[in-house]
Amino acid sequence: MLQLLKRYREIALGAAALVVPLAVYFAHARHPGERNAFDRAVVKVARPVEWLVGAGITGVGDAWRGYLALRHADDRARDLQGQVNRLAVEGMELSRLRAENQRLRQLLAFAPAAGDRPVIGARVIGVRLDPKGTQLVTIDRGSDAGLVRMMPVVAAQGVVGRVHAVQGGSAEVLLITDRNSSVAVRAERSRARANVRGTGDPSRCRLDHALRADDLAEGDLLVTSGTDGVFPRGLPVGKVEGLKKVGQGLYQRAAVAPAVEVTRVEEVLVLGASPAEAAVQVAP
Amino acid sequence: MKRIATAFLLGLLAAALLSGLQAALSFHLGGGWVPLSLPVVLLAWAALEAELLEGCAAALAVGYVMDVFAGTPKGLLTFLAVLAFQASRLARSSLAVHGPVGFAALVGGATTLVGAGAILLARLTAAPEAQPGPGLLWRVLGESAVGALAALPLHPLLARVQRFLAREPEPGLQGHR
Repeated sequence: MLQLLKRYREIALGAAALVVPLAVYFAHARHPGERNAFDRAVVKVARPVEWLVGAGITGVGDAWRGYLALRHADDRARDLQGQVNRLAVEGMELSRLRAENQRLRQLLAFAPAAGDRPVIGARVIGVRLDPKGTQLVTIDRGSDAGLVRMMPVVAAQGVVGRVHAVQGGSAEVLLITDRNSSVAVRAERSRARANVRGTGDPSRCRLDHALRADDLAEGDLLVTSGTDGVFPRGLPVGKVEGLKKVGQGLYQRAAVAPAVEVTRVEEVLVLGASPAEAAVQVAP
Repeated sequence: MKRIATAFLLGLLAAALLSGLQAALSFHLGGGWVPLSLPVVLLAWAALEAELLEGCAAALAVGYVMDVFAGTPKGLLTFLAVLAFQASRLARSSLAVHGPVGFAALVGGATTLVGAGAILLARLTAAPEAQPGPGLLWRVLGESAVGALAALPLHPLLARVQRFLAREPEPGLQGHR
């Protein structure tokens, strides 16, 4: 027996390496657990690489733009080339800052919509729009800044998602385009209620539980209804597209174009709990 | 046993680093529009270079890291990583896989297997409203093509790291001082 085991040891272990994870998956498939300490340590190992690569790419991009600016300087202004280059780079820096300023202003203008909730500004530092997994972005604020799971995350254009996991200095945001994300909404025009569910495709969601009798039309703006206990009411979520009333079903179907282009979002606001909600959470 | 443990730890570390690189690259180059799965490169490399048990250990580590980073239920990508490693190993022994282009093709195949397998298994187990649609297969194919392209520059880098790790002290140098 021992001889047999020795002979087929490799094959048996190779098969076990397949079977054990499959069994673990079927055990966890319906109820995926939280990340444990080891998982968090593994994520922590990768964080500096994200920061470094991000800084590297930004640096190379800046250098490249500076080089282009030099190439396009007028030959006749050679004597003033140094000055022109400096001004050109400063100009680009200014326009970059202006664009950033504009985005941040839009974000700030959006903040009063959060009502009496505290808002925490954050930058996106990484994305994981995995077709076979979750649709996540990493932001540079975490539990050190007071973030906790399920906090709503918004941009100037509307809802981005909700906080999914937090580390000390960073957090992961589950986007509304994720298959497991569902946001309770109302059509702004008719006040018809429905849910917006992600499809795993970063450019579209779908409308769920929109009653056939409800008044919905192409292009209707959908805003959060505030009934899902995560998002405050009135935040833009997306627009109705491709509305269909198929056969005799109870519901009508439609796609939803998200209000926020999740692949382009750079700065976000995380909405904290309102004082009333915080009091409810603290109460036993 | 020591070699298997080393392979597991190296797989864990390399996959975590590649996942960090992937997240940053995805953000800066296209904002995630183009899907990318860099750790699969390690599976193809293990299929080319490692013994069965070492490779399985490395694939388990890589799959585990992929599960952690992708937020999938534990075991899904771990299983598919080991499956992709063993399938790549079979492909290596039955087809002539040479050089960066062969390696890239292997990575493309492994990425497709992992992506399509994940969608299939998720469809079997997820709640009906959260099941992935077949439209995601196009994104998996895109991921495979991008992964194969990314494998081309990674091939010489991995070869260099492999040489460095396999380096043995030159005989006769000890005790020269």
